Amino acid sequence: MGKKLRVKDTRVKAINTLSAFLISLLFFISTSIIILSYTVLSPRHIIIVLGKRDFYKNSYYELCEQLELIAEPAGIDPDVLIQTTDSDKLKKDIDNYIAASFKQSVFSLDTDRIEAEYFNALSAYAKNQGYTVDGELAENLRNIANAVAEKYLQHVRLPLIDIVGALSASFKKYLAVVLIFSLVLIFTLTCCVFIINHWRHRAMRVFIQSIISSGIMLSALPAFVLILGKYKHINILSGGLYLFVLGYIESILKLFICSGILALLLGVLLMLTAYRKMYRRALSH
Amino acid sequence: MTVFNMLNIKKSKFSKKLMAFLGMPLIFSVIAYVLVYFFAQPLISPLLAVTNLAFSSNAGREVYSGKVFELVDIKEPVDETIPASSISFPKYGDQYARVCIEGTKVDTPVFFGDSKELLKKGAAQYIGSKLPGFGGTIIIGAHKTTHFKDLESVKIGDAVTIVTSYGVYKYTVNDLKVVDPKDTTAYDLGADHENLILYTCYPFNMMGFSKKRYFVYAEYTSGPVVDVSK
Repeated sequence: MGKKLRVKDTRVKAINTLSAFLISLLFFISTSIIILSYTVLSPRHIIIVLGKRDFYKNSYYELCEQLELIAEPAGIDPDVLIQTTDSDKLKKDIDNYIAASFKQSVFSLDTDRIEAEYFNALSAYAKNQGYTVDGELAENLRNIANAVAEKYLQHVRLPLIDIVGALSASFKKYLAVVLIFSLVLIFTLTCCVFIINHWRHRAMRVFIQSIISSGIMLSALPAFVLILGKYKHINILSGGLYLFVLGYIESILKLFICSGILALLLGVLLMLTAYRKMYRRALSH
Repeated sequence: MTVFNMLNIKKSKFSKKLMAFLGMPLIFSVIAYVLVYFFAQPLISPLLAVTNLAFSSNAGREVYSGKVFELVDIKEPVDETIPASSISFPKYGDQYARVCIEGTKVDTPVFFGDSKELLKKGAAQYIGSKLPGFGGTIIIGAHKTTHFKDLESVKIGDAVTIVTSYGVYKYTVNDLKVVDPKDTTAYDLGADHENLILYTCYPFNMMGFSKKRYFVYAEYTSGPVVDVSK
C-alpha cells in the first residue's frame, strides 16, 4: 500500500514538473507573440520610435546635405532645392510608405509632381541668373530635378520596411492562431494540475514555478543582449537611420525585460500569498 | 530534537524551496531556449549570417580618418631621393597636400579619395593613382564651381605646385583637353613616368550636370623622388 502510494506520488510529481515546464513555455510563447504583435508587426510602433528618435528631422537634414552635394557641382545655389523640400511632407510620405508596406498595398509617390516642383524652382533660379531655359539647359535642369526626386524617394523608402511589412502580413494570422491555442492549453493544463493534485498548495507551487520560469525566459536573453550591446555596432552610415534602428531594437528588448520582471514579481507575490495562507492555517491548527 | 537537527531541517526545507522556485525555473528556461533554438534553426541560421554582415566588432562608424598632414615649410622643390619608409602615407579622407597654379586663383587643399563629401572640402585625388614623387600618374579633380573654378584660365607652360608633407613638387602644363568622362584613353594609370592630371567638369559656365571633363595635363619638373626599395 505504501509502495503504491509512493509510485502514485512519483507519477504525480513527474506530471507536475512536466506541466510546470509546458505552462511556462506556453506563457513565454504567448507573451512573446503579444509583444511582437505590438512592436515588430505593428506599423504604429515603428512610427512612434521614428518620432522619439528624431528620425524625421535627421532624415530631412541628411536629404538637404545630399541636395547640397547635387547643387554645388551643378553651379546651383543649394537653397533653391532645400527651400522646395518640405519637411512635413517628407514625414507624411514616410508614414504613408510604412502604412502601405504593412497593408501590402502599392505605395505610389507622385514623383512626376515632385520632379516638376524642383524643375520649376530650378528654372526660376536659372532665369534670375540671366539664363534662357531652353534646349540643353532645360534638359540639364530636368536631369537635376530627376536626380533630386530620386534622392527624395530614397529617403522616403526606408530600407527593409517592405520586408518587415510582408512578414507581418504573412505571419499575423498564424500568430493569432498560435496565441489562442497557447492560451487555451495554458488554461487546460492549469485546470488539470489543480484536479490531479490532492493538495492545493502543490498545484499552486506548480503554477508559481511556471510563472517564475516564464519570467526568466522572457527577461534573461533580452537582458543579456541589452547589456552586451553588440547591436549598437550595426553598420549603418545614415545617422538618423542608425538611431532609429537602435531605438527600435532597444524598445523591443525593454518590453521583453519588463514583461519578464512583471511575471517574476507576480510569481513572488503568489508565492508569498500562498505561504502566508499556509502559515496561518498551520498556526490555527 | 536538538537545535542542530532543527537547523538541518530548516536548511533542507529552505534548499528544497530554493530548488523549487529558483532552480527548476532556471532549468526550464535553459531547456526552453534550447528547444526554441532547435526548432527555429532554419530561421535563426540565415538571420545570424545577416547579422554577422551587418554588425561589426568595433564601435566606430567613421568612414573617413580626416587627418590633416603638416605640409613642408619650403617654397621650392629640393631634388633629392627620399626613402619611402620616411613617408607617412595618407588614408582615405586625409588632407595630405595643397595644389596651386601660378597665374590663376587655384590654391586648394588636396584630399586622398574622391567622394562627394571630399570634393566639397577641396581637390580630391583618385586613390587608384600614385602620390607625388612615386613616378606615376597623379589624378586630382575638383568642382568647377568651387575649388577649380579658375582652371579654365590655365595656359600651356603654367607651373603647378603640389606641397606635401614630404616635399614640394613642380609640374609644367603641357596639354589641355576636353574629354568624355568615360574615355579611358584620356589618362594612363600605368605610365612609368611622373605626370599630373587635373580635371573638372566642362563647360564652365553651363548650369547642371556636365557631360564633359576638362583635363589639364602637366609633366614633372622637379621635386624629391621617392625610393620605394627603402
